[in-house]
Amino acid sequence: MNAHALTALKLTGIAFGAMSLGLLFMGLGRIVSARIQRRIGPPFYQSFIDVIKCFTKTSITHNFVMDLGIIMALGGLIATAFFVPFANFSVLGSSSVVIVLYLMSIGYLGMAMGVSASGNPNATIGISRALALMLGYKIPFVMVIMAMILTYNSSDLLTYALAQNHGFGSWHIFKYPLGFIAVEIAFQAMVGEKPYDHMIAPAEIASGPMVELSGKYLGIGFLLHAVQLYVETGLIVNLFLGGAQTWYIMMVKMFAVYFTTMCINAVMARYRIEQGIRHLWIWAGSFALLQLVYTRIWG
Amino acid sequence: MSPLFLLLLVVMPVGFGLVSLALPKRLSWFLFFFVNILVLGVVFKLKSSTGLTWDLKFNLFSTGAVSLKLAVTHLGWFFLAISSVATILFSMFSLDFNDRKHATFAAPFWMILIGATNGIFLSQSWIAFFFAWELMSWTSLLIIGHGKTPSFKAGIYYYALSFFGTMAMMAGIWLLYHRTGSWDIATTTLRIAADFTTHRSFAMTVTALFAVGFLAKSALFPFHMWPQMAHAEAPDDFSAYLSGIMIKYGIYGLALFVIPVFAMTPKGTMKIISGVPWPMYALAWISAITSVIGTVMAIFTNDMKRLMAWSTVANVGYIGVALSTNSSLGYAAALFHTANHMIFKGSIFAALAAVKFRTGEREMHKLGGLAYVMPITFMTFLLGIIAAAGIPPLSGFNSKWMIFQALFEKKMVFVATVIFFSSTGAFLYLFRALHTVFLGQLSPRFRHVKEAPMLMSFSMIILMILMLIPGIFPGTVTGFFNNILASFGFAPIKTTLNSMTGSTASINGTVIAAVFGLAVLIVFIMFLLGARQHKVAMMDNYTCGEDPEDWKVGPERYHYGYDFYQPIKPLFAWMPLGAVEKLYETLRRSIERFGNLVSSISADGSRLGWTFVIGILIIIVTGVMK
Repeated sequence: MNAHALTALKLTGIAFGAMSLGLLFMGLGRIVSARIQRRIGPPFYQSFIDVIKCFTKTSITHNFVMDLGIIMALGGLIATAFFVPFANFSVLGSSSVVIVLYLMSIGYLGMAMGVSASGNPNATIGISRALALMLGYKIPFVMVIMAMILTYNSSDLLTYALAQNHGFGSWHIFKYPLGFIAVEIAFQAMVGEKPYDHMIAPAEIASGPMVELSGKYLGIGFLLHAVQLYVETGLIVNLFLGGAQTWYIMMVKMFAVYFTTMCINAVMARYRIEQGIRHLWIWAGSFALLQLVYTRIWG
Repeated sequence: MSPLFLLLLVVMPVGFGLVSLALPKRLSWFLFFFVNILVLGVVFKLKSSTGLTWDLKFNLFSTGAVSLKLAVTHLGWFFLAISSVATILFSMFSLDFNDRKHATFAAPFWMILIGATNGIFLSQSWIAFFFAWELMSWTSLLIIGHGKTPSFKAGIYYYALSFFGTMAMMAGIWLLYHRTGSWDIATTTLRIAADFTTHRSFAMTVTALFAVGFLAKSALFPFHMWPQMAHAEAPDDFSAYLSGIMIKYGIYGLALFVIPVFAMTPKGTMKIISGVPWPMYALAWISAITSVIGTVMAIFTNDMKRLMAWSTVANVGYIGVALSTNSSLGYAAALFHTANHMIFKGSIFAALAAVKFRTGEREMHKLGGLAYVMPITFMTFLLGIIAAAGIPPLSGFNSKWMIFQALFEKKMVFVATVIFFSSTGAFLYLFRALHTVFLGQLSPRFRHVKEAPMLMSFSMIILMILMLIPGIFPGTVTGFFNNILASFGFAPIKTTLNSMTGSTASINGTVIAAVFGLAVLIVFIMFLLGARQHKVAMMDNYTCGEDPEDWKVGPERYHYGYDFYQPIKPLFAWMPLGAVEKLYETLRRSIERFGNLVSSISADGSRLGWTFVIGILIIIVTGVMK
């Protein structure tokens, strides 16, 4: 029983660590955007202030489904974060990538359910766009992962990370170059940054899913994005950027991934919905397919 | 145990069904529930009596010994058990569903159908199997076409496709008997597997004929159209049975005969693609195409029952893919997904039936916001779609995970990609149904809608539990598989109560559930610690300063539901989704033309003589030929 309690304690630590790291990235990301636009930008801890402020303000809710959905959303994503190895370490021992892919969905489903229950059509339109976009980025992403499964005959993220621990040359960027390009394109859509920010589209559908969120609901919305950043950048680092032996290298690599995303975000405009998906299928999809065919035949 | 119990499982429901034809409608529904309790009791009594056999041999028109053999096999018992558990819940649901206003006369036929179902799962001779199969087809036709014109049309459509499959199967059975001289299923399976080395084309033909029969029944491509008509038009409570259990007969047939044949075929007799014999590889792609068609059609469908029927088609596609891997992992995955699909699609249809029971609407955009007035129905539907989308910690995830493991084992990554596409597409249509029916704005028309009646709610609660248990403890279902696998010569799979081991990883359902629970608990505490929230009305929304009422927009029009995925429609325009329907329509027209020709000859009095002459001629010609 004691061992279980210890594990639970460690996992709670990971939960708060993931949230904090994500918030830190969000703050730094805002500075990056600001500098590209020749502004100074907010301090790096701005996101922490935002979330704390959100939690101290009273908020509105429309019904119980909204509460349930929003709790389920963050809960699901935090549970996913438990399965992503951090610096070659996973508390749960196993970290099957299939679990990560499907468990992440409960976060999205919870969010979708919560904001749909608010009854605001803008929120639902945002969700319908997000789900449609999911059809675009998940397929290339999974194809690349399958290429790795073919090579290693294992779907454990830790296996992939450990296999890249033999210096710079062993990184998967060099082993699966086409796959990396595909995943980088898909990643832009996964985190919902331009040119794939249909879901939020501030000037168009009033921030989409976020439109009815206030107070702690908005705070949880922020945390959701933070944990999402932790999970998704963590995935990319474990899959392609050699994992990491120490925690600070892991953080630097994760930030590097996010930094690239923010740079692209700062200089691109938004696609239309079907353009976005078509772009993902054609570009990310074909790179991923080439990678998969290559690995299947010669890998 | 007396072998007569096996006969009882078939005869009892049929007998009760025939008796209740004479009874009032409401009474027959009570009898229906009662029969299901008895069936469930007998099935669980048979749990440890595998090998128990009842056989009746007789000579019919001196064609040789006809045998009606019923026996308990591991596979048959598994199907019997899951179907009778699901059926008793559906029948409890039906008890309240068929009140004075909604009662249909389906109960007697449904009882006969249950007898036929038990017969299919118990038959060990092809004759008995075929009798049960025909009985099942007829009774289900009568239930689907329950006295309404669109229902009758759907029933005929269903029956026509089913009939085609049945004929193919009958031809297969005759060929099989002709060659082996035996009606016994196990014997003939062995014989036909051995024939692949000596009489390849014969063995291939027979297997293909059977496969056509089973594919037609399970709505795999190119027979994928009937569920969207039949499931949608059938009585609402029967749709759950139709989609949960009846669609699995074909899967049972494939698992009983076709897959074992290919598993037992000696190595080197057939071309191997991706680690499986080429017909199995073809089955994999047929199933993958089926799942894509089902998914894309579901995404753009507005009728909620039709949407879920397409989803069933997609799920049968997954099961077909799993079977086609021809490995113990794939076979187990198929059985697991069959069991899970039975429960989760049953609960989805049950929830929709409850919605229709209370509102009378079937088109989704006219509904909305029902979660706030029907919370139990909503929770059932929610858990159902979580399981259907394959999200942990519910049952659907475990079986989908196993299907992927089976595909990885055979390195069938391209099929796996297609399946993953369908699985992601599932989020789209499932969420759409959840939102449009249960979330968003509640129409004033439905403000006073009540929760589903007690027995309906109760059966839905049990269905919810049955979705959770195999998710958290996969061993409760997978524990049965090793015996089944052994009876077909497959290697056992590694599974314990909490965990399953696949080809590339192993997962522990309990750990996933516990971890998820912990995460939700953390968030819940954070939620409680935050400042208070207060509740506002549904129409009290952020609308950029405009008042919807000024634009004559009430809750009904403020609900985003119609043509939900309109923006991505152009992406699928290139898919020839209606091609098979068009082909069937052409076929139907030419058959109709031929029918008109025949009827014009016979109906017209002046040509009656011709009919007579042609009839005589046919008799003479056949006589001469003989």
